[in-house]
Amino acid sequence: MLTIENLKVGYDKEKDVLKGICLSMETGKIHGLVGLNGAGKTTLLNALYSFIRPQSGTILYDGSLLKRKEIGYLESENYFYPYMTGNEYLNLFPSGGTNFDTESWQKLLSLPLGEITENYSTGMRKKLALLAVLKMNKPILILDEPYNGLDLESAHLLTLILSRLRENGKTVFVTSHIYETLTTVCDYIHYMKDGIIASSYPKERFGELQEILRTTVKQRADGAIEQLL
Amino acid sequence: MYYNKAFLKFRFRQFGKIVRDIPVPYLVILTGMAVFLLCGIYAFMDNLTGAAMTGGCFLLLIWLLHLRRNDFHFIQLVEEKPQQVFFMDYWLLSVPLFILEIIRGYYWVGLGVWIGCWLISLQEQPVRRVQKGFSPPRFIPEKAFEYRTGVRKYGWLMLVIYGSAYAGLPLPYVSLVSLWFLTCIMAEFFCYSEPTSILCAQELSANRFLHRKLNLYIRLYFIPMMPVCLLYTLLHPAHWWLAVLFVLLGSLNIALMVVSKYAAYLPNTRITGGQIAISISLFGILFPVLAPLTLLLLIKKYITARRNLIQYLYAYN
Repeated sequence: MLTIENLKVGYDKEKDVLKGICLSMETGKIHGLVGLNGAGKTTLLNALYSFIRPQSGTILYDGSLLKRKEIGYLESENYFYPYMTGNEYLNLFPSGGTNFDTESWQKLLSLPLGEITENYSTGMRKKLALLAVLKMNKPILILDEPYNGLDLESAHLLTLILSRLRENGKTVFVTSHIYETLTTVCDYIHYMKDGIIASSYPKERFGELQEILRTTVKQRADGAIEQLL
Repeated sequence: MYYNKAFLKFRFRQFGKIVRDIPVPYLVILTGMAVFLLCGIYAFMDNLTGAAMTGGCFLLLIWLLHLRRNDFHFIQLVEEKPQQVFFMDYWLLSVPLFILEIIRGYYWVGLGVWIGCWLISLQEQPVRRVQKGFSPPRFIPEKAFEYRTGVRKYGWLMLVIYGSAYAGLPLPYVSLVSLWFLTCIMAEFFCYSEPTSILCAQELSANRFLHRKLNLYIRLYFIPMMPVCLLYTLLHPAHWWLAVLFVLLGSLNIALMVVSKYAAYLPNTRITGGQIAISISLFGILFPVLAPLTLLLLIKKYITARRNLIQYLYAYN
């Protein structure tokens, strides 16, 4: 079980971005995280990964404090070192105790690993960064906007990969602005609003969340779009 | 006319900002070096050949700048008259040279430089695909990615300089000066902060990370330097102390480059801070009287680097 207890995180003393998050999550499942821009999704992921030290609160994994070494983190923006090839980037990451078959992954994802990463498209960069995270073989994976920049085929491939990771007992956190990608693959979706987890939905109640999102948008945009365009 | 005035104002503001950001001691040193350089160029221009060669070298540098400038396509997109912008840049850079040409009485060489600047500004820059470049040698392991990518980028230049180090062995000092140039190029290897994914890949605490980096890069520095220095000592036994001093000071400089990088580390950014200190320290290899400065900078930057890295790597303590 992954438990977040009263987590408060802020970038300055006066304002907290995360205002006391409390959440219990089943391990070995895929958890989606949705929310408006500025809700605190990336801040929550950074706090899980210990990129940011929380002001208060704890994050427990199976009863003990969650360590960064237990997490593989895919950032939303993917950068590499200038003049570095894909192979060189991958070889910087340890293989997490397994035989990582780079060649097979390369064929599966159609990645030109011998090329310099400057010449990669956005989707290729995403795939390379994802490959490095998979290579590390951590029990918990945090994927921030993994579907960004992927073509239709690769997006479907990613969905299959995530499903397989779940079967292998991994715990995965996924954020996405494309709601349908989450409903296809997630077991739970947690809705963030104003720095807290407003509600959590298991798979059978995803329809409720969709209705809430639709209502929220309708209330904001009612008549405005017709006036503006 | 209004357009050019606005552009000139902008460039002067930019220059002013750059100068204001330089600490005063470094500014004094840079000014001294610039005056020294201008005096040297002035002395060289005492005849027509010298004046023409200076103008030619200047145009060559401007041409290389024009081919490599990163804002070329951006300026073409946003400006109505991009060639005017390019010409104004090169004209501004040519003003000190033009003044020297006038003083020397070769004003028509200066005019030729301006015409050259105008012609260069008309040249299109092809859309570049980053070339894979030189293959890094096998003795550089993949975790030494700064060296690998640096050699990939500057490999041919480094090979020529390294070759000249061997070629210059029969003459005193030449090999060591070549190796010094090689060390200067290596400073460019540490001018970019890697993303946090790479920083955290080895899961090391700040202390262990820094020590491993220093250990790795100083060892890798020895590999190309030692054969040349050993041969130099054999051929010039009276200068054995020069070779030893070079290796020691060179290693100190490599260590300074590493800690300077992590003292200014900010993910995915080009490192601009600390470059003047490194430049002065590199001169310390040629003028060992500056060596204590290198040592002081090394200690200071090491402490800063450790403190800076802790905020990214504290989770691995």
